[in-house]
Amino acid sequence: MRNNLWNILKKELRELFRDKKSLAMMLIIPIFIPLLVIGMSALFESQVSKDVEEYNKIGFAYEMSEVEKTIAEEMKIEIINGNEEELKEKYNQGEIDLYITKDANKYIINSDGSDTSTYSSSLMENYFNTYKQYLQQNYLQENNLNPNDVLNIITVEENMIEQDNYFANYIKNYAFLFIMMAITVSATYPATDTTAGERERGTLETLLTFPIKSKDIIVGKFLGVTVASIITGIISLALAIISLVATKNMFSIYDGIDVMYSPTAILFAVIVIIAYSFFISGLCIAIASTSKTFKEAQSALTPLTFISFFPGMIAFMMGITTTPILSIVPFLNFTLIFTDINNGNIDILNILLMTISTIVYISLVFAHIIKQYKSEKVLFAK
Amino acid sequence: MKNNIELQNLTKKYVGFELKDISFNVPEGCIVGLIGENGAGKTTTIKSILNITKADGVIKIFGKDNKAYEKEIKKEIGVVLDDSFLSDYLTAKQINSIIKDAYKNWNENKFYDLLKQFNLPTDKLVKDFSSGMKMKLKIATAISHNPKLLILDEPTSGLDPVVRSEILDIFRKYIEEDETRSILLSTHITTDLEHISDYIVFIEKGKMVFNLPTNELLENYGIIKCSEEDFLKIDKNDYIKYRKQKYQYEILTSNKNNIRKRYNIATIDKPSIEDIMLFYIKGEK
Amino acid sequence: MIKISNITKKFIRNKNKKEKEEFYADKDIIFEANDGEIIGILGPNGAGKTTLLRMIAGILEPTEGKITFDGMNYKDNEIEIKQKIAYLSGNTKIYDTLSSYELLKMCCDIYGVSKENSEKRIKEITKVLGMEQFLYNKIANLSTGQTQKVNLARCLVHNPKYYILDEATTGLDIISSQIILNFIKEEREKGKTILYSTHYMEEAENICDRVIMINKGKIIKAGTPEEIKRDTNTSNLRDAFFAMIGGVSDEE
Repeated sequence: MRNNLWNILKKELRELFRDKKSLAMMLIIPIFIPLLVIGMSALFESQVSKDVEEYNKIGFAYEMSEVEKTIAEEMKIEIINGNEEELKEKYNQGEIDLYITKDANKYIINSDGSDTSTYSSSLMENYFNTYKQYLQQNYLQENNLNPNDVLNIITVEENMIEQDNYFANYIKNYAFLFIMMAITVSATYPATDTTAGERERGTLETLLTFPIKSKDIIVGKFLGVTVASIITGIISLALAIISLVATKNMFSIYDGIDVMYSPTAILFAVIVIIAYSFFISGLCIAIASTSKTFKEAQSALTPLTFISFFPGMIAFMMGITTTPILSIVPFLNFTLIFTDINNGNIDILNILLMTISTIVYISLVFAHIIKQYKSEKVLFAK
Repeated sequence: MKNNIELQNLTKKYVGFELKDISFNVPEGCIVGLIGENGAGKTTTIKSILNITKADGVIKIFGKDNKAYEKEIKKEIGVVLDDSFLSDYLTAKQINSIIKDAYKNWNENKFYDLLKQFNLPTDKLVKDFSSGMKMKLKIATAISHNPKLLILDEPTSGLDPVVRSEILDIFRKYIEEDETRSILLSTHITTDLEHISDYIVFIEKGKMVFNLPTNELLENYGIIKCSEEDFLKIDKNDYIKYRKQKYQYEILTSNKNNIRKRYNIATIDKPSIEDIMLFYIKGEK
Repeated sequence: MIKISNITKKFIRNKNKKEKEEFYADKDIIFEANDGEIIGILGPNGAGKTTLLRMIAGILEPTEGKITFDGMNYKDNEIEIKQKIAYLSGNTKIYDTLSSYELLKMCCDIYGVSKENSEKRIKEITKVLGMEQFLYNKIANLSTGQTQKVNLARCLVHNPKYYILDEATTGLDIISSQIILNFIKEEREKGKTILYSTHYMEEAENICDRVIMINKGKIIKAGTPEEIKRDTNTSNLRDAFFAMIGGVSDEE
């Protein structure tokens, strides 16, 4: 009976939305999205506008000339004197950010490659360039040459053609990854509850005596979980968009930069949310319905949460670009193509491959669930 | 006569239900049966005695206050409640090794003897036991540390008559072994009580209806069946409740000899405990 | 009429990792239940009663044998048969996040009872079983007796022809039990077929037209209560039960 599929779906949704734990699972990750977006932006902001006081403690293992001291004062460098061993010790202790040693005309900047040292090294390179320029000017003047002719023989200028979108892209793509994770997490608990859970609670036996085909029962459950996942996905997307708007107004690093998804990207995101929800719900139900107990189902499903997140994150960090082959790898393809769209690259071939492969996966999972959901196996999975 | 349980004015309030002024004793060497409808307050009473539910009133076990001396008291009590404490993933053997260190008086031989008598496997997981087997295991576990007091909530529910009979025998033997022991059990299967209990306490809608020796109920109580005419002749004080049936009146009395003499009625039927309950709940006065 | 012909149910269990053990829950069960009859199904715990009733209710498939309902079988007419069955057992729990009313309404929808009839039917059943007081309360908050009433109520909404009741009165006090027993008797008068399994011999003697005793998966005695008492030389079913089964209740 066609009607009964609808009746089952109604019952599944009602049970789902009355269960506090299911609701919690649906909302727990979405709530993190604004935190993620704003938190990351704050982190970026603090890195860009680092106060010079944070990296200006420099050790000098030699006697500085008067000129050097003047330059250092102007550049707000805090001078710490000592011999090489003392400075090395202070550096290891973290009291100074790096130290300079001198060998005849060679000055050596001693540091590790860490973030702070990079700022300090930059500062010192600037310092020595200034000192070098002073010495060069002096030398040329002493030899009766015009410093300007030599030193300014060519000039170099930086012209920003395109605003640096690095930070904006970062948070836009990470937010999308979190949307995917939110959908996964919101599918796992309901999928477990509606299969292994119902079996343990004893209501499954009652359900099987109703005049409903087993097929309709499992499809109803599948759709119920899918609906929950789609809702989570949409809420996550909405929260992502809202937090992007908020963060644009809160931080100066985004001045003059567009920190919002393009309409194409949003459309793509919605389609992916729907397709992915179907896929992950089907996968969760397939796995959960063969588990003997609730706990077993939950442990079996937990890895999925990681699989939905980490490949995408790693690919993003490594800057992997989409290829036709990668477009058919589940979990990974959505993130890769979304990143491309954010960057403005819309590759029709890859999108097509992604769509087709997703439809194939969903159909496979769907067919598998229907085939294996038969009374005895379902009730007495032993 | 010493009492293993003393209850005076036990009271517990819930939203929509109140257990009020329950007072009865469970003397040494006696089996007391607790009967009543679903929701009447039997389980609440038992849980209050065990201090699982916090109730008001005087509750003494072995003469000591059940809250102040809870720990010591519980060492000497064997309990079987509805919610199973048995983990599904243990075998009877494993349960033995876990519990034997928890109770000073745990008798391992007795436990294995009972398992044998009950036909329970020692190496099978509890989750594969049928409900009857689980109940038997719970009872074996409760008895094997030789407690002075056994408290059981519906111990024979869902068991077939043969098993029920075995369990009742075990209870009987248990008291015969040591006359300072007692058993308090609540049940719907009142026919079982007729065979073993010394006293019966009937709770209805949170209040105590009676606390009487089983003998008295079975020997002195009676059911009179008569016409309306005859019914009207009987003094209200001489009967407890009546029920109007299609063609006759049925009357429950607590003193059938008295009725026999006063009203010259020859046939007075012996009631079952079930009959008595029905009269109290559904009869009129 | 329900016809049970040579029903056998074999389970395969993993005794340990290498050995698989074959276990017969029911072997060669044969009997018939006519319209307007209450058939009692008795036997010790673990005898195979629940497995048998599950097969009759269409939840388990028999390994061998046939079950027909007025000629229809599960392979060809699964939905039609289930439309006419009411199955109540200790294992059929109900959705306790719903209220009794919502549950009954849901069952009406599933069984295809029309909207106007649903309201009428729910009202009728509520009255007969005395559920007015708690009809709109969440089932999770009801007492045992009340929950069992709701469980029975959900079996009735579609006016079933066949009742399969597995220990319907276990855990119920005498008042609630009587309501159920009276109800079953009335259904019998209406020509329904009722399979009734119980541990309470007095009940069985009171309401069953015929009784089937099962032990270790096989029928060991069948007939009317009178016949059984005569054959075992006993005066009540309880003693007859002891005589047939007595002493050893072997459980796998």
